[in-house]
Amino acid sequence: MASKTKDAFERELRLLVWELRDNPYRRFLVAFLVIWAIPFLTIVYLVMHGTEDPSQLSLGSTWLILLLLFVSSVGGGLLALRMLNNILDKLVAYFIRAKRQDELKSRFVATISHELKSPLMVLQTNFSNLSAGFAGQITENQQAIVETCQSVIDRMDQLIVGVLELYKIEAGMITLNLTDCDAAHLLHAQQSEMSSLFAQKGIEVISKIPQSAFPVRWDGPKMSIVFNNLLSNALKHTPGKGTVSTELEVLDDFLKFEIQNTGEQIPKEHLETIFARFEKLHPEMEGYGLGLAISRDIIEAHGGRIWAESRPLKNCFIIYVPKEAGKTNG
Amino acid sequence: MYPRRLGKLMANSEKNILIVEDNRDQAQALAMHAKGMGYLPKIAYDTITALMMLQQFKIDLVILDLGLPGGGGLVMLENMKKSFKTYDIPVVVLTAKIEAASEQKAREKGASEYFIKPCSMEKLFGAIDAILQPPAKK
Repeated sequence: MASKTKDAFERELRLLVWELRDNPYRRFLVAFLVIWAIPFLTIVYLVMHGTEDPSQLSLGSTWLILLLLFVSSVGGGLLALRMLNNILDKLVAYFIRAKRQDELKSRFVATISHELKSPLMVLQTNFSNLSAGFAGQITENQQAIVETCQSVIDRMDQLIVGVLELYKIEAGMITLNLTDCDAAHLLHAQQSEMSSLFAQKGIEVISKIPQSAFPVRWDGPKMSIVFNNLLSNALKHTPGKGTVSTELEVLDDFLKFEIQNTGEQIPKEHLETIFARFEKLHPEMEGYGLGLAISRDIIEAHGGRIWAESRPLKNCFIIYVPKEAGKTNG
Repeated sequence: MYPRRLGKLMANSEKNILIVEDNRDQAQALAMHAKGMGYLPKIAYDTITALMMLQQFKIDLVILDLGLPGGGGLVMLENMKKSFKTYDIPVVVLTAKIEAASEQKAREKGASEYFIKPCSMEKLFGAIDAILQPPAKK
């Protein structure tokens, strides 16, 4: 849907460019030729039929030529003004349309969010009431069923949030809120948040992320989503007693972050497709296949790149992000 | 465990919570939960009724949805903060609006907490408990 919107936008932009450049230009040329053809043909006529020497033209003929020149100049000027007006009208209409489209996109997100999230909240509240015994005592088996339903609600919510996030990115509704932050701190925060989950699965985390500050100008919360997605992926795809290693280094104006995990290698033909939305290597695994797609969008919005590499008995995800988002040169 | 919960229920039993929510199923489920937690819930399905109830009853806290008939929740929040009788009543926003701008506006207009639907009852009522029963000063 989002790409369709993008296509429509592009089509409209092309149409506008054509309207502004080609179409009025041609009209102008035709009008110009028609208007200037009148005095030109008159002069030619007078030269050929009135006298052989143009300097010997009679006073009447000279005035006639001057009058025609004046009329055609005024006509040309008026035509140019009208054309400018048309162009301005079209520009204004274009910007109004673009603004309306933005409003429609925002309304779409708000409506979808409301229509999908509100019923989930009704379910959530009612299940909480059942679980807490506010609607009468329930048995242990019933309690287990209620808890399953609650976890399904959580997953549905994650899906809605993910899809809306992608839509917003693709519809150009997300603007980066760039602030001065510390890349190492962002990574440490995500790692420590997930450390208990890694420990539970018996995964060893080898962190080569320095303690010193790595000052960057990024959208911190969005980059945290990326790091969280990559660490969650590593957690999901690393078998028990496996290893996950993370590394951060500075390369000129870029930061390079690398996360490696032991386990089943990603087949080469999937190294690119795993970044597509709803694409999952193992369909039976938890999640909706949106994490990597969202991560790529966020990284690209910062002017960086993300890709996956398959190494012997390991998988590796690499990110290059400019220290100052958007600045990719020099 | 039981006496502790009983004590909490008794402490809550005099607190009135006004639930302002246009979705009747949601409002009733929230009221049931509030009642279960020992609060005295009241429901208003639109902002006009809610503002009238705020004048009529002694309300200790408002759970407010933002997308409401009769003017949005933000308008109601604004009106509450203008009235001498209601300006200091804490408001907990519970909404499906996910935009950061919406939260910022709500907080600027005086909302104490902002929860995005669906949120767990533990979180919601944890915040409500913290607002209504601040820890005793040492």
